[in-house]
Amino acid sequence: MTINPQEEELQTLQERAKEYYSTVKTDIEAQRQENKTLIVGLDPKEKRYWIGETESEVVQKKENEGNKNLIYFIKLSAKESDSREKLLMSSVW
Amino acid sequence: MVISGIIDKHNRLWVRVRVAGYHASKEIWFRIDTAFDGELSIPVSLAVPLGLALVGESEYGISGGGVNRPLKFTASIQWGTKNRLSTVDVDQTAQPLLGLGLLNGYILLADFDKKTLVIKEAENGQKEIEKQPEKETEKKV
Repeated sequence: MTINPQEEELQTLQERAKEYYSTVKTDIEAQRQENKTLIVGLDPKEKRYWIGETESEVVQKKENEGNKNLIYFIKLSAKESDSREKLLMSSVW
Repeated sequence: MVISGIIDKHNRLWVRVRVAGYHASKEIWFRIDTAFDGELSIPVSLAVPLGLALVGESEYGISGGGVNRPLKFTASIQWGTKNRLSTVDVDQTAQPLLGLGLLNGYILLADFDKKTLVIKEAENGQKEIEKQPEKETEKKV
């Protein structure tokens, strides 16, 4: 049985995104802002990431560059935040 | 730009949005969910006929524990008088939801007494205009 290339890419996306994130974590963490949660889109295939205030802003930036790959979204919580997202990030990553 | 919605008898907030994919477009009533950080969420049964474009996936915690990993699609939506891009979570949800991601940069005015709901753009432009005279005054002094 053959698998659709996009389906195959999706099956391993989380795992590859985690690996890629570990290599760029310091750069991404440095872009945290005060009192504002940001969205990060990770493309482990081309080793690229985009940051925006919303998911659609991230997608727009990626598409403006002609990138067609699937991306994995994570939240970058605000610097002084004790939000649920921060707790989740620490447990996920 | 102003978008009008409704507040039902259970004080839930609803707004109607036209969502378009590759195959079709449809006006859908979304319940505004301030606990939802994404932009739009619709059930599989609504997403498939629209033919939305897959863009990836995400992972987040859900109330009551556990983790949800929705697939992320994109759609063109009519947001007030504008057409814009939105991400759409497609999962096992039973009800279309509109989250805080789509309200970023907007003001949500809910009058639970009159049961009226208005979404309008935040007045960043107005603030810029208000700052202008101060700068000019400084130059003159």
